Amino acid sequence: MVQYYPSTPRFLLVFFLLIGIQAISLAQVTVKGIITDGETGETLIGVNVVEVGANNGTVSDFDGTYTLSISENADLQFTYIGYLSTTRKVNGAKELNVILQPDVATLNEVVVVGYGSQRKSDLTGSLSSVTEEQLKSMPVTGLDQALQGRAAGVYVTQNDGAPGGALSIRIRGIGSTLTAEPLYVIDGVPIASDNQGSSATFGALDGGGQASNALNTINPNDVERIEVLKDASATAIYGARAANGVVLITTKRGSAGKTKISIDSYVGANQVLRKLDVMNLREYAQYFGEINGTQLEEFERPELLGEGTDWQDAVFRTGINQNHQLSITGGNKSTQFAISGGYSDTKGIVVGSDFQRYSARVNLDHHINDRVDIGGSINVAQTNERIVINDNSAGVIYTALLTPPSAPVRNADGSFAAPQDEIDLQFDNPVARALETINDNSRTRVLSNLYFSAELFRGITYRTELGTDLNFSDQLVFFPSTDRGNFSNTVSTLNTSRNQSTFWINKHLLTFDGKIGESSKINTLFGFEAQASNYEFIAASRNGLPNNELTQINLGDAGQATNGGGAGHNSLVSWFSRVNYTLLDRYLFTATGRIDGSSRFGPNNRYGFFPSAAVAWRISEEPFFQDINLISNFKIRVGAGAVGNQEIGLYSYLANVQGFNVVRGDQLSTAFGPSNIANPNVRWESSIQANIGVDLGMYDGRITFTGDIYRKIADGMLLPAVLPTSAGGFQAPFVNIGRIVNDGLELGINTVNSTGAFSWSTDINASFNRNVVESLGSTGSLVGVIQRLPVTRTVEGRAISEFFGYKTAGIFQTLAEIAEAPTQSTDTRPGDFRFEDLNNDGVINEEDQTFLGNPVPDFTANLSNNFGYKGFELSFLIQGVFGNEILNLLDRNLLGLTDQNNQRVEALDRFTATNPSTTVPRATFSDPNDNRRISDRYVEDGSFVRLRNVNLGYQLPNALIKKINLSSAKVYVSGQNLLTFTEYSGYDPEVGSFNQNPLINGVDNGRYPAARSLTVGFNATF
Amino acid sequence: MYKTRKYLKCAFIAALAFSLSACEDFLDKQPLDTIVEDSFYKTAQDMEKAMLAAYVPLQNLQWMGQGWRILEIPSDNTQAGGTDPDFTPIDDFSTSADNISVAEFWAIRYRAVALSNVVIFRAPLASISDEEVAALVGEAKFIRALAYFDLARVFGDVPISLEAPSLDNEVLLPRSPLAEVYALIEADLTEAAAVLPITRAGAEIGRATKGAALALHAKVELTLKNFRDAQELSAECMRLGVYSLMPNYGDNWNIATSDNNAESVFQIQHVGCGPFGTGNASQAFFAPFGQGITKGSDGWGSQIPTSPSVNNPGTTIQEAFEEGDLRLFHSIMEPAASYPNINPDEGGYNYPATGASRATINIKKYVIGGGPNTCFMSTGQNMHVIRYADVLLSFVEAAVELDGGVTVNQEALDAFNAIRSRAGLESLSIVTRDDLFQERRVEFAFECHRWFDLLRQGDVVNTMRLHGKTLDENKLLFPIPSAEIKINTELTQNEGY
Repeated sequence: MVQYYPSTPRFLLVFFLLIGIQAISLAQVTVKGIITDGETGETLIGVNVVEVGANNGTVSDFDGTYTLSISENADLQFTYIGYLSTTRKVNGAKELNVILQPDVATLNEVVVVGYGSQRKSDLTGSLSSVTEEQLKSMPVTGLDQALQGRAAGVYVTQNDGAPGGALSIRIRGIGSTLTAEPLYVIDGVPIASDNQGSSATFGALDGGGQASNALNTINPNDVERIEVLKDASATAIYGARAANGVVLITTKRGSAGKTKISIDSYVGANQVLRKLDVMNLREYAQYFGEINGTQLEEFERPELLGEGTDWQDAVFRTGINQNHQLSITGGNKSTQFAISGGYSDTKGIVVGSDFQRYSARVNLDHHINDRVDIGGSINVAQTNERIVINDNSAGVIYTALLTPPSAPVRNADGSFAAPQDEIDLQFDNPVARALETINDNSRTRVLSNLYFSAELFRGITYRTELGTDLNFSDQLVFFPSTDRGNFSNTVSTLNTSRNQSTFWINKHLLTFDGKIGESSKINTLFGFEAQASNYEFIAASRNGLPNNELTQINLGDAGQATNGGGAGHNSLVSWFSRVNYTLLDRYLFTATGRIDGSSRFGPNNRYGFFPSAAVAWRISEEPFFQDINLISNFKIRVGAGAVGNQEIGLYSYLANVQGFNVVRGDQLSTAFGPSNIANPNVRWESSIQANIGVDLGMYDGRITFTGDIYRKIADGMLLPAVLPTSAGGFQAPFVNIGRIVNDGLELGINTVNSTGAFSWSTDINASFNRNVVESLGSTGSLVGVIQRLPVTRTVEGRAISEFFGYKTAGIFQTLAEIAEAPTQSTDTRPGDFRFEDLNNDGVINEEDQTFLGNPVPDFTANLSNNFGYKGFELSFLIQGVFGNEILNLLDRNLLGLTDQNNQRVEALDRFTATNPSTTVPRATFSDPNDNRRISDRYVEDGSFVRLRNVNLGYQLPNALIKKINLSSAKVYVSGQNLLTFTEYSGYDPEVGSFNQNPLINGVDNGRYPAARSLTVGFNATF
Repeated sequence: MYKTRKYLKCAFIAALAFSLSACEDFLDKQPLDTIVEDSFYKTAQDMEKAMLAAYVPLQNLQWMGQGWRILEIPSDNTQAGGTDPDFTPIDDFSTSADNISVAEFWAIRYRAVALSNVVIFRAPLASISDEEVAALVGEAKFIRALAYFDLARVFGDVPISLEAPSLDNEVLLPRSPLAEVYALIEADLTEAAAVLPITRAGAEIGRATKGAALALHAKVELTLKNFRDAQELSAECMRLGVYSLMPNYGDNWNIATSDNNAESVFQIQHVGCGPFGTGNASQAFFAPFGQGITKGSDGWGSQIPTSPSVNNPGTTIQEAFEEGDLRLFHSIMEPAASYPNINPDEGGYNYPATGASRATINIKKYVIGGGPNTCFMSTGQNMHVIRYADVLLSFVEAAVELDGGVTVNQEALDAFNAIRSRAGLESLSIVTRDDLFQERRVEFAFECHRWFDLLRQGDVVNTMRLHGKTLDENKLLFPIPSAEIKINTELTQNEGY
């Protein structure tokens, strides 16, 4: 720990002042008054009132009034967040009423940056903020959902619509093939953004939404604001973890004043966005006869049959979610606190999927004296998640669509039913699958951070922080024994695992704030930081449990018990510095540098240096600009830097040995040999970024515009080396050889259209990004695979993860057409797809595959509006995503026409002798032409425009609520995803990435869709 | 607590002095659940496990389990059964450089080279005695020589890798001239023979011995036409006095007597029904198709003995056996042959009088039927690599060549006639070159020697043309796998591919 040894006698003087005696005051008078809002005329509570030049102050109370003893002729300064502060002379008055004007310009808005905060006007880098107001209007379970559509250049997609499901956040495009998720920092504690480590796999089935959400344990109600750091100038202070951007999350802290008790509660109902049209029983019966060759007796008169079972109704439900939070904030001048407890319960729209969270938070700040502060925050949360397998052709949603309407959900005795034995289905009753198969994930997380801060000299502050992140999670996966119809699993299987991880971080920060001469300011930060984490897990498995009701490990067959486990650890040591220099309040310079030493890097490259520099010019502060009244703020920012991605695996640089089975004598034995070839030079993936931005404010800040263009060059991307087999066939080392370039443009416009009694403001942001893979080293291409099906290919010269397959050119109508066409299969018949012979060799084979579409949007745009009138508030957010494609794998089976599964209604238009369809192929049980192969047939336009959020609130009038002892009360009704406009034929066009894999995006394999929800809630403060 | 102190020291020194070195300890996080290479290869036990790893490729499917695709199918002894494109083109000398069996044959032998190199590199650094180092290095060099001998005979010039696998060492190696490859093989075998034990006991049985090194070396010298050396090496092996022919030829094919018997100079060790890669897979490929001999779903008749009903009469293995040769019964299943030892619980096995469903005759060697220790593609019978009969015939071959193509050398005649009399055949008083290669053909039928015997005998193109195959001199070597050339641009392709 750093100790400071003062060397000047002046320190002693300071010291005595510190433990100090209040200044002796003379000629005291008492002044009081009411503080009101300049626009609404409402009284303002909690305004800081300070006697200028003295250690004396108070805050306005409940009624907006204050009382303060001051020296005669003192000046009083009134400050309140979101309002312009004002200083008034008392001039001996006994009463001084003050009107504070809202600060529409937000120029003096303070934003959180890495290891500190800054006035927005002083920024030289690129960042986006999501404020408490914006967060409040979105009653969402997960914090990351609140980021959706709020910030330019930040593309958030839900990988899985299940409650608690993971999201993918792409800040300025995808720049890595390993992970493209940003770093999250919660109140100064960095947490792993990559959820793959917590992946809850379903035995042999891997679903795309299996990764659980790293931010699940954070209660969104506790969050004050979120900052997204986008360019290297802003992120380089996070060095080797900043390549994918940084998301800073700040929780609410207490403030001096009366203790406030707030209750926030809401209840919502969630429904699936739409249903897909599949065949009813009459239609299915006819289809079955055709595909099967022989008809079932009961299907012989299809016209007499009814609609049959609607399996979508069986697996989807109206999910109710509720969220309740009690928070208490308050404190006095020396100690402030914020305490909250929350409970959230979400029933998903698919039966069997649930999420619960219990959370508690304490934030505490104590000023020992004017110079020394201590405090901390602690957040404890438990989440319980019940996951239903999806994003898999054996998933619940997928199989619900495929299950014939001829099967009932349950038999008369209440047991789950199966279709007729003649119908050959390879999967279980989907409702049974959802309810009987168990995948429970429970997690307890303790996230804490303590700090101590002391002003050593005027302007020089030392701060140290100690943060921890403790995680304990349990998982239980149970596959029941079932025997229904043609599907049976005679032996049940139970897998259970316990994981725990601990993480700590210790920081030492030294900041200096000062002036150099009259005309320039300097602010510097020096920091040292060390952090380490370790994890361990044990897992056990047994099968053959006596029944499906009791699912504890001891009940299984001991003879077939297996167990496993593992452990790991890593550490990071960092030195960093930032210098902000402001000349004449209009020339701004920022330089940052960080050295990261990481246990993940090879011994030859253990330390990386990540510098950045930026300049900004506030042209509007130039003397020559003062006459231009139209423009109140005009700033140009230019920055560049190099950051890194250290998520390269824990021990990529090491060579390990592994055991092999060998016959020794006449017995089996274990031999040991190398498992991999090491690359001791392995290091971070580096990202070189440049940004040019402009900030424009007009009409006194009523219109603000922000524009940024950027280039991000991901260089030294980690890819496996390609070695000849003569090297021994060991696992090849990762080498830093790849290169991906992202170019983009971001625009943001914010207008305050009306103030006063009717307030109206508008936010628009738009982002364009272009992604090109420039080099993959000797790795010719990277293939993204889902369920052993290659779906995407990444090659040099194209965007990452484009869909790859065949091009169709209609459907063969006659045998003559087939005879003339390139050879596809000897059994190609009319009604089969004609695939394009792209290399003109007369044969349709894998050489004829090509790129079919890009899952990453060309541009995204978001529009939000906020209206206010006499206590009513209305806000809405419209999200637009344009130019992306989706690979609809659902149709591979749902319009495959090759088996006895139920099909989409489009199958009614299938090719037959009497219906020469040109779009839907024939029904053929063996599919000799492989009509189901990956082709442009499954590629659809994924663009959509969505009314993501509407929020209507009403602030109850003061006159009313005072009678019931409330200081404020608000009721609201909120809708999420109420309207979606899209051409996409699946449930939901918002298809994220598969298990956060950067190589698989926009592939809908029966993904859990987002819900449409309607929420009513209130918050009340006592 | 210790770790905390380390961190505090790091933090304290680093924060004040900005020193990087203080943090090295803190940043050195070795894996907790895997063994790092540098912490292994220390003790005698570690090195024993590392040595055993070099035997793993030999036991794997790609070495001998499917090695017959490269070593036997081109010859006039066998033809490919079925239509598997992985090896049927080899039968017609239309093998492409993309052939997967060729690529696997190449890869598994280089894997053995790499695992041998690990031992050669690591043993001197381990805490073991000089004698132990020498024995381990010698044993590893035997394995390396075995691999390179196959590579040299199949591909010609091949890259020589002498280093343990590491990025520091060059991995894109060019092909070395054949003479250099053979010089390495000779040096390795000389060193191996000098240090390896004459016999192995207990759990070490089956690992390389002095005799194995001498016998393999003799075969190498025959290939190089250094007949004097070949004669001395095989004679030295015979003088060890630890080997003898089994009384009955069939003893080598009966699982009760075949493994590590007196005739075994070097065998690949197998167990039945173990993890994949530990069993002998030959039965799966050789047993007649559709006969249910294995009691499993294998038994594919993938390699079939040549016979006059299919191939050019007068050139086939079925006709090569003299009247009364006892070896025929143990080598080829002929119509109506009866094998009471195969599946005795079912009353033995009788080969159908009209032949099996895809062939009129099938290979008998390694076909032992289903049983408690026999599973899908896995029997426990060891694979013969060098039998003592091979040592004897190497001695005879050297004598024949030294004596100008015909020998009356008594020692050679004794060795030769020992083999003939065991086969129930009359002794010869002179042995010609043709007699020698004819004897080798029937003695080692389907044991992966015939193609190399033909190469040594010479005039292969004509022999194979008479047999009914079309080929030119270029086809005597296999193509370098194309995938390998694509990655290793230093490699060149053989002529004709």
